[in-house]
Amino acid sequence: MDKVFYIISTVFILVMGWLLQEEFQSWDQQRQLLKNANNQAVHTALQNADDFNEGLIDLSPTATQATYLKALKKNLGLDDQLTPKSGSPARSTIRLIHFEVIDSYDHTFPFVFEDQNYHITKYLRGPAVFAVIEMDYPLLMNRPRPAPIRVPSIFEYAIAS
Amino acid sequence: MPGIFVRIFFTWLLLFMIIQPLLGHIDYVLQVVVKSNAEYAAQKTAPAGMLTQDVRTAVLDNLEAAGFNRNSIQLTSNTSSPLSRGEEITIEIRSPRLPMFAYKFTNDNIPTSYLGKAYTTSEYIP
Repeated sequence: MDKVFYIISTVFILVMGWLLQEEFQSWDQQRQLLKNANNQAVHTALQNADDFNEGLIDLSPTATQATYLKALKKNLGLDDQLTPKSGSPARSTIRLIHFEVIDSYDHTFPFVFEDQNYHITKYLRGPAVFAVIEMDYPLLMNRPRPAPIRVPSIFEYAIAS
Repeated sequence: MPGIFVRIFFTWLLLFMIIQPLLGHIDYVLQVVVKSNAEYAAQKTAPAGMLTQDVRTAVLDNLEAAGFNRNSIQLTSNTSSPLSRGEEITIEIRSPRLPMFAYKFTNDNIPTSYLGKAYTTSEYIP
């Protein structure tokens, strides 16, 4: 009987270790996926700036956000509700929790941009787009769900001097 | 007598259960390396509007340092001339994959290459 317990407990511990490893790997993979997609989308959104009137770079918040969402949806294969379509590498629905356009009308560049809520700091030399997206932790086993994956991204339009 | 069976089967089971996660993790790490290099190449590519020789060499150096054979890596892009601002550039890296399983129990086809694909928008102004 001792032998049976020994075998069962060894198998159980190894299986749990393996499953946890897979779960952490998929967390890491999803986080990198979101981070890269968010970086790419803020970069694309900033290319929307095409009005150089009076030497100021003008970013329309609505047009910029529309370009941002279009790029994000195309990259991750999402529908209009930001839910993954079949074949998408994303595991579950993505939420856009913050979107901000920092342009020359409200700010004087350069300055240090800092967001305490989303833990991001960047020295900005020109107009920028800042976005934060969030996704539920990808669980493999039934247990209390840890904090969601949250990635901030910022991209500035700086002219090389 | 049952002790012998237990020993024979349990030892093998234990061996697989230890080796498989290790293989899985190596496979995963290599995949991450390929994907992050595709992203790196895409980000470096944006200002020039195309995949330049410098970026290509840097990516191949990175992958070689991670243990890939330089000659077996396919690094491709959707353009060979600079794309103008606002157009989309695609970078794709394919490299041979390690065997993922210590023992193949099924006849299913296993992916034979790692794929890293990244997009960026060109910033190039002629």
